[in-house]
Order: sequence, then C-alpha cells, then structure tokens
Amino acid sequence: MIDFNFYLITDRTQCVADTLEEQVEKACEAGLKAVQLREKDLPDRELLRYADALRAVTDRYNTKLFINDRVDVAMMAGADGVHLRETSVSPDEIKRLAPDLLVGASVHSLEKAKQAEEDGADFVLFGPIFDTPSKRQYGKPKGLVALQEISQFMKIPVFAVGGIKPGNAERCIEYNADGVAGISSVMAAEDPSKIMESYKKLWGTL
Amino acid sequence: MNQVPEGVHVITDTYIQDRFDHVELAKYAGEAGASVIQFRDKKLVPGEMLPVIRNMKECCKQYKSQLLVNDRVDLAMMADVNGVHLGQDDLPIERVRELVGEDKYIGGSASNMEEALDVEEKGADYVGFGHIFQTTTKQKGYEPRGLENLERVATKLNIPLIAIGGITLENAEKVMQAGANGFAVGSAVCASDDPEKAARQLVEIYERFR
Repeated sequence: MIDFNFYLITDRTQCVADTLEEQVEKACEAGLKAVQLREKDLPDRELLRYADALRAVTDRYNTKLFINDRVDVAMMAGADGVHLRETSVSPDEIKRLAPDLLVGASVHSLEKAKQAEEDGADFVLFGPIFDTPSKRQYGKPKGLVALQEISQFMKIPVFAVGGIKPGNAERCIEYNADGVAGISSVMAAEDPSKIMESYKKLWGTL
Repeated sequence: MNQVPEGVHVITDTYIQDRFDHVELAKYAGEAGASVIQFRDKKLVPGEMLPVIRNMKECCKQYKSQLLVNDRVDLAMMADVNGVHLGQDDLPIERVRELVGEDKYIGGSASNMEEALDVEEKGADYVGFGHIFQTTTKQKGYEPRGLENLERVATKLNIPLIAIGGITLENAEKVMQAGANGFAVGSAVCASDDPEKAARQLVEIYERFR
C-alpha cells in the first residue's frame, strides 16, 4: 500500500520554479511517487486550487497525492490520502469518513506513533531527525537513535523527516527508517532531477 | 417548526466572552428557539473542535435548531451535523454540494449583490449578507452594508436572506422590515448577561414578521 520510499512535502515559499505545480512536475518526471500538499497559511479556496493543480500533474505520472490535514480538500480533489498533524483529528475519523484514503501521520514521540498506528494510520512521519529551520518550532532534533527506537516498535512504515538531504538519508536508513521525507532539498533545487537521482540510489527506486 | 434556514441564527463565540462554552451557548440558543446554531471557532485545532461539535450536536437533538459548522466541511461530515456555512475564501459551494449532497444545508457569506447572486447560483440554501451594521466581532475591510443594500438584495434573491453583522435587540426589527428572512447574531447573544433571554427576545422579534 505504501509503495514509495521518498515522500516530498511542498513549500511554495521555497519553490524555485514559477509555480508549485511546475516544481512538483519536475520531481514527478524524475520518478517521484508521493507528494504531500502542505501549505498551511492558505485560505481553503486557494488550497483547493493547488490541490486540483497538483492532482492534474500527479495523475499524469501516477504519483500519489496527499493533502495536509484537510480530508474535505482531499476528497474534492480526488487525492490518494490525507496527512495528519498531531493536532488533527485521529486517523480512524478519516478512515470512517473516507475508507479509501491513505492516512499518513506526523508524530513527535513513540507514544504518538503507537497511537497513530492503533488508530489506523498507514504510515508515520517521525522527526525532526536533524536540525532544520522549518521544524524548530517542534523543539530540538530527535536524532537517529530515537528514530531507530520508534522503528523497532512499529508495524507500519516509519519515515524520517527534518533536515533530510541525500547525504544524510542513508544514515536514516541505517537507523531503520523505511523511507524519508524531504522539503527544501527538492523544493529549492534548480534541477530536482539530480536530487531525486541521489535519493533513488538509496533504494533503487523512489 | 421554522422553515430552516430562515429565522434566528446564533453563532457561538467563545472569544468575545469566556463565561460560556460552545455547548452551553448552543443549549441557550436551542432553548430559546433559534433555527440555526453555527459553530465558529478560529483558534481551536481540528482535533479539539470535533468533540465540541459532537457535544453540540448531542445538545441540539432536543431542540428544533439545526447545527451548522463554519468553514470546516470535513468536521461537519465527521460529526454528521446539518450543514456548513462558507465564507468567500472558504471551499467553493458547488464543490461542497457535490461532497455533502442535497440533504445538508449550505450557507454562503456575501457582502454585495454580485456575491449574493453568485452564492445563490452556486447552490447555497441561504445567503448570509453583511455586515449590516458596525461590528467589532470581525475586522472588515469595508463599510457596513446598511439596510438599503440589504433591501436591494432581498428583492433579487430567491433563497432565504440572513442579515449579519452588528445585529442587536434594538435593530433586529429593522433588518426584518428591510426584507431579510432572518438574522445571525454572535455577541448579541453570547456577550449578553443572559444569553437565553437575549436569544428568546430575538426569536420573538423574528416571529413577529413571519
């Protein structure tokens, strides 16, 4: 069900291309298999416009599309899944309303990770693993040891997030991450295909 | 039974006052005979909102009031309430209609004739038009619409027109006279010393024009 190793998270403010969909399309061309639309500051109507635009792009490449927090937007845009924050509703609420949607959940502790799994999440994102400006609001980096500890206890895939680059993603895999999630390394890249190639080498496929 | 969504809409507001929570306000409004109770909260996180909405729904069961959720269509669907109210920046009415079906109420905000007619055309069940009078609850980038604009919209609109913004016990009669099919209040009920009494008085004003 979770058939991807690299999970792209959007941030239109870091985007090098003129539009978010162009930047995502470049990543799709390079083999991206899953992307999460995460633009928290947008009014709902505009968020839906981005969701529609990304759905059009991702459909062409058979890339999975997740929407942060908003299952209504995910349903309207025909996305593949929704990605929950710790402050969102619980995964079982999503599964009851929209059983076909995949559910990812961002977690910052083992306890929350176990809870998300129990409540029906299909995968979790754990972090921040490394220091990164966008994640400083969530406290100090959790580090690789915490990642390994969580991975040991989880049946569903655990993705590492926070300061991930091709150079340190390998470390996350060594510490039992099933996959990694990246924002800046792809969003701020002139040529995302190079970055995507480096990620691809880690698993043989994205 | 009111012809919903006409009548008095009470928007629960826990930021202009902190004496009563959403559920208590819903109880007062329901007891007083409000036709719609709208949950609106811009500060709670979604995980916190859902149990509040469910408690409000439980509370509304015993009243004829319909429970609507502002903005969050997903939470409205999860709690299976009666409908949603959408602002101009919220999810588009026609897409929400596809998602929630014909059995749910959809209200849409408008601040001029063009928006009001658009809200109607997109398939809403009522238009919330305003703000009519000066209000401190919401910071608006434009002048109050006044009674004349309200009257003009009332003549063109086929779906119920609900006046909103700065409506009090003193001026509620005027918006009904101008042709509104009801009015929405926040602070007139929530910030009142006796919310139930205030809501009851507003419902009485509305009833006089039915």
